[in-house]
Amino acid sequence: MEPNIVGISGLYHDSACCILKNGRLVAAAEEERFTRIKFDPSIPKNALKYCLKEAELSIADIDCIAFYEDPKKKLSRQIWSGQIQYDSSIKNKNFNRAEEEIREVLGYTGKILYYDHHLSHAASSYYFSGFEESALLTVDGVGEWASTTYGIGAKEKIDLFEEVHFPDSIGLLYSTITSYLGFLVNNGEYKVMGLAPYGKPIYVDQMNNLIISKAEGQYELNMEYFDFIRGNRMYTEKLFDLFGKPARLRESDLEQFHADMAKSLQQVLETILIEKASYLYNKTGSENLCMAGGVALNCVANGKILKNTKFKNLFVQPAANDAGGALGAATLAHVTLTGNRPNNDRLENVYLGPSYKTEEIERILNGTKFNYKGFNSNENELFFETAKRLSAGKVIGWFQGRMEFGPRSLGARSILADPRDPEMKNRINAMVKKREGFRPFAPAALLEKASEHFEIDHASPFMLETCQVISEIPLPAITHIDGSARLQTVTKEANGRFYDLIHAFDKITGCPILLNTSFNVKGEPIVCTPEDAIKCFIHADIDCLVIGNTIIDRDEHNLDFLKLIVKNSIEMNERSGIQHEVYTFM
Amino acid sequence: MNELKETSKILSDLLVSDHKDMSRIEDLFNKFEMQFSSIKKENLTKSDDIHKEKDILGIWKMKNVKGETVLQRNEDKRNEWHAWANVHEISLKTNKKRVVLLGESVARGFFYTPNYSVADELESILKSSNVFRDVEVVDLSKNAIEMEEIINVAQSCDLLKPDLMVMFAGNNWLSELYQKLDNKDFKELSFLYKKEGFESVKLYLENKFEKIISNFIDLVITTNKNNKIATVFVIPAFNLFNWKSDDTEKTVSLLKKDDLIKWLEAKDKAENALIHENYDLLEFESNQMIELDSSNPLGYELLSKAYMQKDKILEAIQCLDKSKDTILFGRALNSSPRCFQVIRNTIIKKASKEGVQVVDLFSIFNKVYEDRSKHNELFLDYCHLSADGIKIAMKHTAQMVIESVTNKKISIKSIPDSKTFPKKNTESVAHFAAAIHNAHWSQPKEVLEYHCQKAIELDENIKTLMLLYADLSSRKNTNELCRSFEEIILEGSMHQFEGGLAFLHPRGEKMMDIDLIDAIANAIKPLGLNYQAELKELRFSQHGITKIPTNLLEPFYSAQGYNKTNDAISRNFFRIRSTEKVFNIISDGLNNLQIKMCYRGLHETRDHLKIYLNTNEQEIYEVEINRDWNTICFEIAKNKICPGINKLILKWPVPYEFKETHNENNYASVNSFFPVLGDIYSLTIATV
Repeated sequence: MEPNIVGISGLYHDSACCILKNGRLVAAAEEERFTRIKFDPSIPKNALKYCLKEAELSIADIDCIAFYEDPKKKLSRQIWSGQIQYDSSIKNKNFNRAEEEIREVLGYTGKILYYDHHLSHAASSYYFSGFEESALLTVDGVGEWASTTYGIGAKEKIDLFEEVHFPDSIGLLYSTITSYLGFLVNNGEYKVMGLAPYGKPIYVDQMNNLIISKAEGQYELNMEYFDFIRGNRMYTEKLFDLFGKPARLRESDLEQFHADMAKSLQQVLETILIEKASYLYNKTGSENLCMAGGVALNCVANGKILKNTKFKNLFVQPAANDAGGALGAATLAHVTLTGNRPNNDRLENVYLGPSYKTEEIERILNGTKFNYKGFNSNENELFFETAKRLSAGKVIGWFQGRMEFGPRSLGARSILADPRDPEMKNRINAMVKKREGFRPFAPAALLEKASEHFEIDHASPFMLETCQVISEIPLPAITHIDGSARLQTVTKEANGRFYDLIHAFDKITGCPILLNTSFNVKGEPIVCTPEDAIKCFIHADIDCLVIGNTIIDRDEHNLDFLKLIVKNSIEMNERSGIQHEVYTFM
Repeated sequence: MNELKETSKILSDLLVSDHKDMSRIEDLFNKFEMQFSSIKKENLTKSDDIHKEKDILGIWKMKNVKGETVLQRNEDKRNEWHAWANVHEISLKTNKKRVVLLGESVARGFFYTPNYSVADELESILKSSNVFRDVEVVDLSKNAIEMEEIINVAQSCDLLKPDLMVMFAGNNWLSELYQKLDNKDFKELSFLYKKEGFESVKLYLENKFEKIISNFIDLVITTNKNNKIATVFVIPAFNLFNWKSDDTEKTVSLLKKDDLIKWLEAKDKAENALIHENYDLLEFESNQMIELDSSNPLGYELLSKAYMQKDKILEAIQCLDKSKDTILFGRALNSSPRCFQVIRNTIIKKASKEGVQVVDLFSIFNKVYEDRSKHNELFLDYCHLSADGIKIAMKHTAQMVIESVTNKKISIKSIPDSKTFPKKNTESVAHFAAAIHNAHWSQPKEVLEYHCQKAIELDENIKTLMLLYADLSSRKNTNELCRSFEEIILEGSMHQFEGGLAFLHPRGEKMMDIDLIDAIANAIKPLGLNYQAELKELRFSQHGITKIPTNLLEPFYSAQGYNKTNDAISRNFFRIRSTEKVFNIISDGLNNLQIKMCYRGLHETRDHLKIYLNTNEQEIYEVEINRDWNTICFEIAKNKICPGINKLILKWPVPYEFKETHNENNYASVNSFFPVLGDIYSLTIATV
């Protein structure tokens, strides 16, 4: 009998929990999905409850809780950077908050194991990559001290042989420019990546003043331009002189300058990552590369690394942000307790969250004012009816099966639309997602037909790679200005229902591709429960909600009153669990 | 730089160690002083940057409308509008005598407003009195307003140039008073409790609170004096005879040695004496309970019953007033608002010193209570007044307003009755809303039945709203997604109950309101409506036990009200603080049921945990408790289960020794007065 292990990331941002039952990953979820507090950093008590329920275990059955960070090491960095200072309250303060909360809030009395932040990241990628050996590269804002690590994984062993230490950090460079461009730190980084294709890399020279590459895996930030150590804002005013403009005010108009800055940053990031990845290749000799950490969610850079280094295979763990640290910690604990690697296979899918039975969905709908069409006896009809609506230009809220783990919606909690419609991008950004107009959308395509439409020769199940659009069908809603797209390939095995839907859409339209974006609105976590989905459907001007085996059409209902109530309740509760002026160092 | 990195590593070792070497820690921190001095300075300047807007009064903002400057409701505060008077514009200038009414929901006429209000009543009486050529009462009261915000409103009142301010507040101050205590206070409280017990804790708290309240009263009076505004304080009263403490407020205390056992024995004897109508024994045993634990309201409540039977009404009132004040000890986080003795006494003392008039509703109502038939008539819940209560309160207030403005003493008899009355349907809705509010604060079934019946008596059309509410509450959906919610709101009557917004419960905290919905079903029966069968079916369809396990820890099955234990930590398991905990189970009685529970004790106990179904006579399981999590799984035979609602009763044993609580920070120290008996991690039930 192998141990039952809970992995936890939390008390920082993107708190999450997972469970390994007999060495098998059976459940994982972010806490924000349950509390509806975006980036919720609190100890993941709701996510743990869910994981235990899914695994049919009680807290008494857990052999170990693995925490994704070393609180003591992190404390020393916080002391060094002045976030913790001397005062009389220090005497009675418990500085191992992780242990305190695991005991007091989660009620766990057994063994707790701690693993370094970047080791957890590395493990979260390596142990789920299916590689027997691999080079390991982790890059994020900061963990305890490390912000970048280099290592190698061989069978069950992981050796991180080099670290770059805080305050030098590629992640913090990215967050600093994110903040300078008027976006929220720990949130707007995706937007900067999406803005980059609209710009020209004309500020690369200036940008190179911010980061200096050093020998081996090392680099340094030029701290004249950065103020994050002091904890109030990310940059100093010298940055304004360097780029000749003050920081953009939040929500003010975006100018060409901002797009050029984003592009320049992207180029600088790619250059340094390629250089350091090449160093890693030379050092390890492995043709496989596993990446994790928030920066590994930059799919454009990942593609460049694969293209411009000698690595032949790349695996990025789909929850590469801190949430994924829970997976890494759990697998590391498995190795500690058993001496064996828990998982030899590549992660097939990330449908690791809660699902809801047909009866439960119908019970909920029967209490609402919605008239719905049920397709319990004929699922194919459900896919056909949904595809018909998509082909007629309708935007669909798609709620099926187990929720995804990680920041991407992959066909379980998705908003879907016809990628051929030239107006669709603007419509969804403005009316549905209520966000900036430049934000791109991604395609989901049947794997077997993907290469006819995209320059790709392998599966991309987690929407973590970009490729050029080569389709003869015009796909304006999912094609970026530079002709690329961030593709998800879909197979029947990974997500049967999503596959069948795209297949039905293909039958009607000859297009085996759908626009796929996360089922949420700006500032809100991705929906988790049927009720979250219904509320988002009401609030976000989605045309149809397909939830389980039922379809609800918006145009058959007057939702004015409900929209007001739900809007008020979302706005009143709209909360972020972390600060966004500066990176979460505490 | 590297040297400081090493120092920070040493410091982190020291800070996480069990015994902190504070002098070394301080020395090492000094090494960072140069690096941090600039940060400290920056933080100081940041907190000084407080900006106050001068053209705002509550939700109203100064605006020029057709050449006249008025106060108009501020769109930016639309989410708050429902908490204030439904008045869009207030003129800055007036030729009338202007009285402003500040206060809490009790001052708004909660459950009646906007169809009838305290301000309407006062204005009507003042107009009828013919003392002033013309007079108006501007309603600036707000639901749930606390001290700091009320001061802001008071300070901005000058915009309206009123002649007099009526301050009808004092119910909502406890949380702010507690927030003003610091770590030192909490340490002292902990020390006092261990050394001298609850009476010393109460004295310390009252002394602290008196100073804070005095400052508040001074600020109101001084502000008004500077602005040449007269002041009348109206001290709210509490529904002593018809408001009962809930289970959270009655949890046991951490008493010395065997005192808890003695207290529980006295409680059993007192409750038994009450059943057998032995009022001498009831008086004796409840006095014993109070002597052993003066922080627990139960002793006072039982004693008051003995006094009432012996026609000692004044003693009963004093007893219930002490019961009301036990909330000061901090057992619960969300107790019903109330005006404590220390608040009342401080207002009276300060006002008398400053020559300011006071309307003390506690004293006024005590005289009314001499007529027993009035005991149910003055309140709709803990502090919100019925129309009768409002009329009495405002008549006395009008007397003080006239005396303050005219500087002449007048008799209460010379104050005329008002000509304003709530309509019958307004009163009916008020009683129904009160029934809901009482239910959400765990009041007994007979109180809910009283309000539901009263609502039907006043206007039988209320039945439609009642049935919609029954549907809303019995469904598992979050309220805003229930069809009946939309129908209730659009029906319109719930304007009187915060527009129905009070039904928007926090995520995952919806309750089933079993007693309330049963009370509704009973109240509409005389109208020929038999709702029982439909209700049974609806409840089963939503909450009936099936083969998929139901989590009995969800509020649907475990919560009797919105009050919560004052626990600084929100845990993902259920804490047991009472010797008895009841869970509701809805079954069709056709299948055996399987219960699975993961639980632990926190202290050594002599006895076992016993589990009963429906009555104390039907024990279904017994198990020992230790400090480890244990999982039990057992079946209940279907012949023991009633079709419909069943009660699963857990009787938790009392420990003979309590584990010491070390955390002395803030609420944790107060919280440690009230022990945890055990924890339940999960409790599920399914058909077999």
